[in-house]
Order: sequence, then structure tokens, then C-alpha cells
Amino acid sequence: MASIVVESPATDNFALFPELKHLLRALQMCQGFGLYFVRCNTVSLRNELVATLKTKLNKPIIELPLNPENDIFIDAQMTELLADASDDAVVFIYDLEKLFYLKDRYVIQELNWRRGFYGRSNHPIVFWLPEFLLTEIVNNAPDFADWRSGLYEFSLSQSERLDLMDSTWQSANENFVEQLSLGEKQRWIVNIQNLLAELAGQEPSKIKDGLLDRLGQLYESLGDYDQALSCYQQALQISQDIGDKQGMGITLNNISQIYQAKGDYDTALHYLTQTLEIDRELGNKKDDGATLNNISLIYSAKGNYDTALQYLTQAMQISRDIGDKRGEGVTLNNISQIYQAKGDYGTALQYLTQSLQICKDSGNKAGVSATLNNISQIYQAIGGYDIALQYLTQTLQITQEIGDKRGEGTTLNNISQIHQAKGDYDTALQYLTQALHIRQDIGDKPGECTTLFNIGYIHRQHNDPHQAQSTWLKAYHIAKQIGLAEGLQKLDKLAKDLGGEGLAYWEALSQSTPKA
Amino acid sequence: MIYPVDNLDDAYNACHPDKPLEVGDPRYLDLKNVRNKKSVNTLAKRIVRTSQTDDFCKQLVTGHTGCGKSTELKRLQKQLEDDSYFVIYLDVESSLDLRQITYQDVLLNIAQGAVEALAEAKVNLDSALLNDLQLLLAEKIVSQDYVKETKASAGVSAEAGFDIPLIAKLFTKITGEIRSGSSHREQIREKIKNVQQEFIAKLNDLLLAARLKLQHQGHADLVVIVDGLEKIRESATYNDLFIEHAEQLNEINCHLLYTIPIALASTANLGDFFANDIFFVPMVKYQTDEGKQYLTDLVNKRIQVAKLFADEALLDQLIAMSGGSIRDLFRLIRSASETDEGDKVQETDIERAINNLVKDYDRLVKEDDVALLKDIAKDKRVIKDTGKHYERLLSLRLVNEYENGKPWADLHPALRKIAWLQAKLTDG
Repeated sequence: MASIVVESPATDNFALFPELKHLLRALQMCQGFGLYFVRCNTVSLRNELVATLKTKLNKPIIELPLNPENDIFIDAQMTELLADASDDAVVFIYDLEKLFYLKDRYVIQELNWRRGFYGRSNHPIVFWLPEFLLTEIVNNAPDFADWRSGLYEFSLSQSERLDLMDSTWQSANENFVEQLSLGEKQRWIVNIQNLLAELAGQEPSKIKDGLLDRLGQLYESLGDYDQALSCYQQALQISQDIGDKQGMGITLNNISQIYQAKGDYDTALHYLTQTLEIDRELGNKKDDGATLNNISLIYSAKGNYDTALQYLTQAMQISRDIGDKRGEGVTLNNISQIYQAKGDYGTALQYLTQSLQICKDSGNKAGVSATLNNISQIYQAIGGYDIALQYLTQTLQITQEIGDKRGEGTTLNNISQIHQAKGDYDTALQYLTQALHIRQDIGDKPGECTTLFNIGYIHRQHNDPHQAQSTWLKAYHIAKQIGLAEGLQKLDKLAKDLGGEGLAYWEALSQSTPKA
Repeated sequence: MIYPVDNLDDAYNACHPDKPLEVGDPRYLDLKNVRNKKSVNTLAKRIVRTSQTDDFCKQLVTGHTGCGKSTELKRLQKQLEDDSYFVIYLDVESSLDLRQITYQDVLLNIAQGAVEALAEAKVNLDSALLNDLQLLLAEKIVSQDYVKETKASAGVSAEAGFDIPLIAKLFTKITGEIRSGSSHREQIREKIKNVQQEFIAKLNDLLLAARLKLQHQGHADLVVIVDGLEKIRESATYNDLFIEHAEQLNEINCHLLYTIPIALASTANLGDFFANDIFFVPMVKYQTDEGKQYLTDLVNKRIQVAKLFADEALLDQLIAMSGGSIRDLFRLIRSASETDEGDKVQETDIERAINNLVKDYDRLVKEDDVALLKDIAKDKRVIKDTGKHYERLLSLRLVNEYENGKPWADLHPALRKIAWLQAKLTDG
């Protein structure tokens, strides 16, 4: 029996987000009108921050979510809301981006020329905005922006950023290893090892090189990163020995993917840079584009979106130059993820729509399903759960149709998140259980870790802290075993939320709990 | 509230980046010594001097956003009123659509503002004159349906015992249409254009009658201040207004001040149309000891720095980062006052305030700006390029203009703290 129980979750947002206490203090002090901008890229983070402010602010908060149907001036809506408000009420304005998609820059300019109306409102007004919109406002409504008393930036945590990236299985089944069951993978590994043993005495060759790469991919798909890395390193040595530049390029790229999974972005980047050099030396445009895409993913994971976007723009140019439709679709998908991470859902959606068309036109079903999945994530982010669910249902059908097991697992996992967001924990658990089975079935360790992590939350919602804890502990074992950076970061944050010392909390638990 | 205040809560509310000071506010400090000896006294004198001739003083006023322009204009109004002038202060920002403003809109706004202000001050204008202008509006500018509708609603108001002349109602209708960007807007503008000379002439008749009445009542003269036009962002719009239609703006027969965008002032030669020099409210020279002292005094008029800052010298850091912009200075003080805990601003609060301001400016700088910023940083001068680049930098305060003797310019100090930009600026 576990001796430590999970305490009630009391996330200390003030510790996590140092700017929050400054915002709180400002709102507490501000008398009469004051203009505040809060940069916050996701609705979930906003909800969390607002909830915290509500408990601590000694003034009433009036919330004004904007929506495109209500086509009157924002300040007029605000006036209506404030009619009965107490004098010290603070106004929070949300979802300006929804109007922005509808009316474009006009909405922003309107802020500028109607700023006097806000000024006369006599209340502090807080605009909650995603990054891209903030940039729009400071550039296109400079007089309005210039009235601001403060701008408070809240960034997603690293694990949330990775979460966002998690929804993109960018490869869109670049290699068929992802479509194999665990049993098939294991059998294949044995076969390849046997073949390699046969070749042991022979000179390095392209065949050997290819086998090692394939073996590495199989290990990688099972989350066995160390074995995979060892295979790739042998393969790299062989390509170097035989002067096979192309083989070197492929292997260097594969190696980078391992380091990325382990969260060692700098090393991953180091390998990708080498890959890029080789692609260019060989004049291999298509690989060049793929490598640029992979580089962009590293920068995205590091939160450096602008650099990521630069690489993607290059990749896009290449795909278009050589008419590589598949590459173009992947790149469009990746671009959309950047905008999504920046909170610019409208632009993200535009890119996804383009990508969807290209994938459909070129009969790339895996691409279609990946894109539909990404579209669903946009709708989920803006609270459009029903639409999100429709897209995921389509995704699920395609993944099943093409036998994309890994994609199926991801989709089931994503569907569960919608139900969870809607508060339907039982249905969420059903989908998570299915996802877990598939992921265990194909040996998708990172996926299994994510799903266990999510299941833990459902148990917590069901007021079963023991069950939650033991599920999370399982996730921890996997993450630790395979060195999964993303999982470890999430668990680290979770432990802190639970009042523990980060990962040490899980380590202590795992010492005191007999392994299942 | 008693200034200077002695606690952080009050300090926060004593420093507004968003409100000009009303006349007589104890927080006011005359900055003319650190603004090239210029103050609104200069303008008031100009008007008084011109009043003694048959001419009208037409004055353009500009300055960086947040430099204290509106505060100064309000003081000008007060000063002129003390000199027994009748001043009409129009804030165009709240009454017109600055995105697509035309000279017709401005003329209408002046006419409307004059009629309303005079009515409010119970300066009874000759009804025949009013009637004439009203007929012009009713017959040639607004549609007949409108007139009927307006008459009907004016009738209701009259019954309520409130005497709003029909003409005021018509003006409200017309400017309402123009502001809301309705489909009538273009029609109305077109119609005004067709009767432009007649409209201006009748407006001038009305203003003349008003001036005579006002002088009768002991006023020296009539002055109209049109504030808010400096916020026009589109160069096509302000060029159309102040260059293409300068003549029409100039034809109004009263003393008149227009605010103009700083970008326009920096690029166009407006002297052909407006005889007086543009009145430029420069940034405070925060680089000099005198400038620093004035800004320190300015803050000390509002808050007790010695009591509220852990160390008085901390204020110097904020002043150094303000670029001489009053608005940035107050924003910095507000940020710094949001201290974690305790009742004093600490060094870490100052650092945070500065960092936040730097981040804000970082959002504004674009790769394209670097070359020009580099030149300005090197030469410290106003660089007029053929593109709209310099205008952009000025209107976003990435570059500030100062004056001692002649105008010069420098980057906003926050730009020096943006790492990527600094690397490029010092590169090569």
C-alpha cells in the first residue's frame, strides 16, 4: 500500500507566474479608468489565471467575452454590462480575436478611434489577448495601446508547449513502422538482428547501414531510445566509412529525433545542422525541406516561434519549387502549429485548410487525418468542443481505415480530452482506456506515458487520489525509463502542484511503493 | 487627494499614462525650460497679437504622443479664457472617424461645435443666419426624409421644454452618419463638396455674427481648438486633409488651432498654407542635468519619492529610460509601484518596470527599421526619407525628437536595451 496520499491540488499560480501578483496589485490599486493588457495564448491558461485572480482580488470582476454575432461596438456592450456594476468593478474583456477574424484590422483601428469611450468608463479594463493580437494592437492602434498602464505576459509552461506540439504527429506516417503492432515489431527486430549477425564479418555496406537504420526506427517506435541511438551510431559509422553521404544524412536526421524526444534540443539541432549541410551538398531538395521542417520543430519546442517560422518559410519555398505536395502539406501543418502556439487560431486554421486541400488533392490520407486532428485542436482551444469532436471522429475513421495504429491512439487520446473538458469524465475514461490499449499494443511508450498521465487526472476528478497517484507513478516509470523529456516535465509540474519537490516526489514514491 | 502623495496606492493613481491634467491641477509643472523655452504662452501671445490685426491666427500644433500636448492645450484654453477669449475646444477623436476623415468632416465638426457651444453659452445668434445655414444643410446636404424625421424628433424635444435648434439636430444627424461610416457618408461628403464655397461662406457669416456678439459681451474674440487630428495614422488621409485641403481648413474665419500628426510635421512643408511655424512640443531633454531635474520635480509634485522609493536614486533609472516622454515615465512608475509586497519601490521593481517597457518596444521594432535606426543612432538627426519609414518611427516613439536651438533626434532609450537590435546597431 502506498503510504503517501495525494493532497488536494492547490496549484500556486502566484509562484508559477510571477507576473500574476503584479497584475493583482495593479488592479487592486487602480481607481477609475486604467487600461491593462494581458498576454495569454490559450483559453485554458486564461481560465486558470482568471480563477486565481477571482479568489484574490477584492473587487468584483465583470467578464465580457466578445462574440462575432453581437455586432455592436465593444464599448457599447461594456456600458450595458456596467450599468449595474459597483463602482470598483474591474472589466475583463476576452476573445477579441474572434472579432478580429470576422472584421480584420477594422476591429483594431476601432479601438484606436473609440478609445475615449473606454477612458470615460471609469473602471479598470483588462484585455486578455494572444501574442499576435497584441502585436497588432501596438502597431495598428498605437494611441490606444499607449494608454496602457501595464502589459503582463503569461507564457505556457514548457510542458504545455510540448502538449501543443504533441497533437501534431508531423511525420504523418513517413515510415510504415508506425503501422505495426507490438508483436510485429518484436518479430521484425529479431529478424533484423539475425541478419546483422550474418553480416557481422563482412565489410561495411549500404545493406548493413540500411538494416541498422531500420532496427533503430523499430526501437525508437518502442520508446527504446538508447538501443535506437546505438543502432544509428553504428549506421553513421558505416555511412562515413563507405562515403555514403545520403545514408549519413538519413541517419543524422534519425539521431536528431532521438535527442529531440529526450528533450536535448541543442544536440538535436547540432545533428540537424549537419543533416542540412549534407542535403545541400547533395542538392537533395526534398530532404532539405524535411530537415528544415525538423529544425523548425526544435525551435518550436524551445518556444522560439519566429525562428521556427523562418525555417518553415524556407521549407515551403522548396516544396513549392520542386512541386513536393506532401512536403508542402507537412510544412503547412507545422506552420499552423506555430500560429496555434501563438494563440492566433484564425491564421492557424487558414494554414490547416490549405494543408487539408493539398493532402486531399494528392490522396495523402495520413496527411488528411493529421490535418483533421490539428484542426480539431484549434476548435478545442477556442472552446468549440462539438466541432472539435466532429473532426476527431473523421480522423479516427481514417486512421482505422489506413491501419495507422499510432495515429489511432493519439486520436482516441485527444477525443478523451474533449470529453474531459466538457466534464464528462466517464466517457473520457472510456476513450483513454482504448487509447491505452492501442498504445500498449504497439509499444508506443511515449503515447502510453501521456495516456496514463491523463487517466490519472480522471481518477483525481473521481476523488480517488490513490488511484490517481499510482497511475501517475506508472507514467513516471515509463518517462524515466525511456528518458522522455516531455513526460518528465509534465510530471515535474504535477508534483509541484501536489506540493511535492518536483520529480523527487515521484522518485520517493516509487521507492516506497512496490512496483505493480 | 493631497499631492505629493505618501503611499503606493495613491502614487499609482497619481500617475496616469492616460489622462491629461486639467487646468489648475496641483500636479502641473511647466516644462518650458527643458522644451526649448516653448510653452503655450507663446501660442497665447501669438493669438493675442493677431487679434489686434484683422487677421486670424491659424496654428498647427504637434508633438509626440504622450508628451503632454493635451495638457498644454487645456492650459492654453484656460489662459485664453482668462484673457477673456471665448474658446471652443473640439476633441475630434470622439466625434469623427479618424480612419477616414476628410476636410468636409472637419468643417462640419467646427460648424457643429460652434453652434452647440454658442447655444450652451446662451449667445443668441441671429435666427435668420442660423436659418440660412440650416436651409443649406436641409436642402443640399441631407436627404428630405432625414429632414422630416429630424424635424419630428426635434419637435419631441421641444415639447420636453428643451430648446435645441433644429440646426443642431441636423448637425448631430450628419456627423453621426459620417462617424458611423454609413453608406450616406460618401453622399454627404460629395454634397458638401458641391456646395463647399457656399457652406464655408455661410459658416463664416455665422462665425462673424458670433464674434460680434461675443465682443459685445466683453469677450476679446473667438478661438477654436481642434484637438485629436494628430491621431490620424494613414499618411494618405492626413496628406489629403492638411496638404490637399489646407486651403479649405484655412478659410474659416476665426482663430484656429489644429493638432497634426508628428509624422506629417516631419515630412511635409506646410508653410505654404499655414503662415505660422508649426508649434512643436518636443520631448523633455532627459539627457541633460536640467532635464533630469525637471522630470524629478515633476514626479515629486505627485508622489513623495524619498518616502516611496527605497532609494531616491532609483527614480533616475526610470527617467533615463523614459526618453523624456511623460507618458512612458508615468507608465514606468505605475509598473514599479506594483511591487511584490511592502510599501516601497525596490530595485527589483525598477528592473521589472524597465524590462517590461523594453519588451513593449521590442514588439514594435521590425527588421526593416534597423537600417534607419542605425543612421539615426549615429547622426542623432532628423532623417527625412522618401519612404514613410521615418514617419513610422516617430509616430511609434521608436525615435524621439528633441530641440535645443534646432531639432535633433535619437532612439528611444528602451531600444538600446533590446539585445538583438543592439547587436545589429553596433555591428559594422
